[in-house]
Amino acid sequence: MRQNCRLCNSRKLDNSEFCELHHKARLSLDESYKIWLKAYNGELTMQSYLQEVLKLQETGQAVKEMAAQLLKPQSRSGDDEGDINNL
Amino acid sequence: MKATLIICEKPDAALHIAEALSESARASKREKYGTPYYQIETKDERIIVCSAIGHLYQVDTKGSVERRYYPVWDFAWKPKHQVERGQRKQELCLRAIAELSRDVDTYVDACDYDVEGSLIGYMTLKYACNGADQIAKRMKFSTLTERELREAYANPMRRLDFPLVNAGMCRHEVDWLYGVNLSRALTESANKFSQRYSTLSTGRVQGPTLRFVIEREKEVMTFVPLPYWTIETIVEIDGREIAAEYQIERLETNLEAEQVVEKSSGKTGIVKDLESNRYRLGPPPPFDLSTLQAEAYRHFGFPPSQSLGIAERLYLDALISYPRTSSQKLPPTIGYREILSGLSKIPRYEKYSNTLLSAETLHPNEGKKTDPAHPAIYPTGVSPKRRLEPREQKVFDLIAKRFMATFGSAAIKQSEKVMIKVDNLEFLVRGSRILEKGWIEFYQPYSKLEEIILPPISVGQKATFRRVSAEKEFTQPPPRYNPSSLLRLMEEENIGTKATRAEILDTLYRRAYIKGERIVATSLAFKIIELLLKYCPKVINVAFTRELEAMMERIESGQETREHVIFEAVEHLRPVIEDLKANETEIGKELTKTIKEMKMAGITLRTLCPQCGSKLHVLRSRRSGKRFIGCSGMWKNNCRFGLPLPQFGALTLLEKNCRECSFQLIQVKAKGKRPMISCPKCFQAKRQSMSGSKSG
Repeated sequence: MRQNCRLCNSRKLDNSEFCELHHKARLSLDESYKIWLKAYNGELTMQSYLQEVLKLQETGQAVKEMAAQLLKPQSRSGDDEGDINNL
Repeated sequence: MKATLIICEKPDAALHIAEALSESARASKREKYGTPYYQIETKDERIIVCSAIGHLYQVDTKGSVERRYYPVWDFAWKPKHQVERGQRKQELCLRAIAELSRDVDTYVDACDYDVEGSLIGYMTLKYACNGADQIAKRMKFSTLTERELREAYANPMRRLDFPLVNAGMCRHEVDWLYGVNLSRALTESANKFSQRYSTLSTGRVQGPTLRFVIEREKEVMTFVPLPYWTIETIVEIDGREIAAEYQIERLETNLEAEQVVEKSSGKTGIVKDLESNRYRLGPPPPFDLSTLQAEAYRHFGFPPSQSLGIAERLYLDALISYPRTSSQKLPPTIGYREILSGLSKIPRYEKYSNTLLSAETLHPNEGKKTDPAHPAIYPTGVSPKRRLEPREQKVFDLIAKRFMATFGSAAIKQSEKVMIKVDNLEFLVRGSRILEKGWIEFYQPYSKLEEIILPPISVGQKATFRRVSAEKEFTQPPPRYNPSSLLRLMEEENIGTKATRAEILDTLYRRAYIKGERIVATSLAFKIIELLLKYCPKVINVAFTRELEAMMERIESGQETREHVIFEAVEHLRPVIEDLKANETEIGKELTKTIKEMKMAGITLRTLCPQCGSKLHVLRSRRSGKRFIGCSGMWKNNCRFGLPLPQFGALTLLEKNCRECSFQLIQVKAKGKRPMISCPKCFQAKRQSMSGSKSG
């Protein structure tokens, strides 16, 4: 079983595929999507949101890495935690 | 004939004291073992003024224990030259003081009046002057001006300030216990695992401070910007265009923003209400050390340790009072009028000091902070005897103007608010003007004088919305700390002392835990804090550090004993170190991995090889020993791409890229020279074209 975070070499959390930082980044992305969606009157796909977040200078590095990971086409089965459709 | 030995903290202070006391007889400068001292002989007294060079004694392991061994709980105070290398000057200084102390009747401690100064004087008297600490007197002064020094010599304290001495000893001993044991635990764990030596450190204050940086770094790294919209408007009132703001500063949806634009654009509104308020802006308090450091950083970008160094030089030139103070009080005994008269002799302060001198009474606006040992930082009124360096001049100017500003009257400002209504939407036009400059005039250019003067406007007047637009913006991540804000946070959290905080920041930079002016935590710092949190969270617990700090402060007022604080510290530290020792291998493994990654990252360029796309590294030639940029594809693809690098100075890979060729830029910093930024690729292209044109 994988011991390290899927995005970096740090030790992963027990209940996650990611380390503390990337796990927190993932939670921030989830929470913020709701606010972005409301800001654009419900007209914003997850993909556009992630692309937009990735472009912004203010976005944190761990969030950028997570957004890039979520935008990647999924190649392995069972890796649901990094799946854009699960957001 | 009576003989008196005066011990100062620094040679410059000794010179000032000798000059001040040589009213009737000349002070002759002499030397013993290369250490200067001064002798003043009057009819019935011989005064010898000598000085230490800062601390001449320090805490070390009791007996002889191998340097890397831990845990160590037994300590002793030893001469610095016996503990550290390169302390020959200190050794000779001690020998000179010991010889000068023979055949002396009276001993006077004239070191800086604070914890560190008291400790320096005590140690020197106790160990170098054969136990003279018990009979020595204490001079107490806050400036090196002749008047104050003579008074302090004529009316010394009858004994040394032992509570301050004990507080100083305790602080050094507790810091040593924490620093040595924790740092050795980290260093040894990494060394045993990797068989390579790299110094790692943490300490009682260093750990919690680094944790502040890490917590902020985590917030920045996991920050997701949120969109919002602001409305930018230009209204025309009475033929004049003025910027107005919408009643809601941030709109959360683009629909709301579009509606506001639609409803107001090109429309004419009515001035519904006018509001005008006058308010007083009181003068600032005088500087204590941390506000001086913050202000010097804000206006000149000086790191806190640099500001302290400059302030100390100004103090040793008798231009300002003692800077290591936390007081914001200016007692009348410092002589306000004398100081201002002195300042009026310096042309740039003449006008303002004369204005203040013309007032009947002078009352400074004091702050809340106090310091039992010293008043706030103030200029002495003495004119510089030498040409000050530009940086010294800046800090001196800041202190002098701040001092004058504290005596100024309050500034009176008027704010104006104009409310315009259009289609049930409210907009505001704001104006402000300074009615009386007061203290602001004395504190130029360090206080802003911005005004927005509005034309005469009355209720019912028409306002046409000329330009209305909705601007999409994003929330910003919390700001990274800079040296000044981190220092302020340490002070607010009451960890460290005014004398040690700046030094702790320097250590964090030196250990490569933090970098940049906007402080970024490195991966090594993340790892150190992660490990400390895992194995000994109490060591980086701010509340515990604060508690220990408070206990040490109580020693100064005699409410706590040094022995009890040391006992508590050891009791707390012992299980922590045992835990660290038991997990040495695991800790060593994780640290080694991070150190390797960091070292690799430090020599790996972001720009990929233009020939094969592999990673580029800073390498060193085995044959010539020269450094260059080489391609990691050399082994796989036999890629021969390489670029020359400057051979001297510390090399840093910058985050910026070249404007011409977008290759990653490098910075080389040689000692005593300005940093040089260059593009290795452009440099090589230039060199090749030059050699081509020569051969052509």
